[in-house]
Amino acid sequence: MSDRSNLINRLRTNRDSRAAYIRAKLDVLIPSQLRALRLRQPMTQSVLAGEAGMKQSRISAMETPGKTNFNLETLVSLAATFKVGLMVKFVPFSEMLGWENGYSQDTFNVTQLVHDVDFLQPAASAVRKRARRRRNSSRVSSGIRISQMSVTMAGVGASTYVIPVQRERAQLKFQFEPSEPSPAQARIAAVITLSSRSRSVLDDLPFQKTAAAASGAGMSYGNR
Amino acid sequence: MTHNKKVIILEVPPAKKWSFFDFVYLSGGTPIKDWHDSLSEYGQEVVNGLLKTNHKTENPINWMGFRKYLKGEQKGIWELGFYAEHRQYRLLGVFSGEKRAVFLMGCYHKGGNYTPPDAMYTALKRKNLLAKGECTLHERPIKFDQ
Repeated sequence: MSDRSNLINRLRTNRDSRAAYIRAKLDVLIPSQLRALRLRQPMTQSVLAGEAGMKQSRISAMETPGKTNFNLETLVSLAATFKVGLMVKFVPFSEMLGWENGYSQDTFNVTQLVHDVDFLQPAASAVRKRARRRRNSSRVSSGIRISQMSVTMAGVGASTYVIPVQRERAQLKFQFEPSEPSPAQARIAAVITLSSRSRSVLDDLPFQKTAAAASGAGMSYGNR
Repeated sequence: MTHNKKVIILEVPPAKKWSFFDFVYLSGGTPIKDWHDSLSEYGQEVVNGLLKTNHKTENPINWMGFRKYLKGEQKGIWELGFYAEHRQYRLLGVFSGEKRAVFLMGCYHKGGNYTPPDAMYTALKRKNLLAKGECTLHERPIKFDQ
């Protein structure tokens, strides 16, 4: 039986296993969030302790996985010190796991109250959001579906890279990782795979049609 | 790279994540795996949670439970500390290669003493074996439970 099957079996049948599983995640993720918030301010443990009305040794203990049994009052006090909110909610295991797997201490950030425009000026924030939506919808109305982009760097061995592409708002985003970068000499030709629904908006793209090589359900276009 | 109509953003490739390895004797002995297997279900989950969080954290100084020895013959050895069942556990390790962390020894820690008492000595011996290439490394998989 695989590790995962074992785990699921234990979680389904044993309450203690479920408790251990949940507790282990909280005992790592709560200390990690506290450290991330503190480092982002940035604050020393002593400064945070002073502001939260605690001892530095207690902050240190709270940042050590498994050392502290957090109670809600402690978490509320820390959230108030960091000027952020706190949510404690019951969720499916899948949601708990998804959150844990996607969590990164380096990127974890929470908008502080003083910068929380949605909370401080909800009306102005709503107007801004509507305007942004309108702006985006006018640009994105083309319905472009770009699934991947291949980039050929002529002059550096004609290497071709196939790159997954995300269309986010009105900009194309992709990662470019040439194995032999030589920007001064490189001539970049990009080929974008478009869905057949997108042909009507080709004028809006910064690429000229260079080849009609069919690729899956779409067509390829490139620029020089 | 800009264009008269649109802007294409060239993003910086995501940083390589950390990977963790267990020290394994050439004879096949797997002290780290044995230690890990001896932990409770909760303890094993905490170790996995630590690895899951730390492997994405660029600077090891910010790793959860991280403490590094800076002086003497222990220099270069670090420990990952966590609590389970009211006991302080320590995983002693060293860095070896780009974004590679090697676990040398697992133990308890109380009142400044390790259990087993020769934990640090054993870690130093294994560190030397690692430096001489007289061991193998097994990558410790991070379980995402998916």
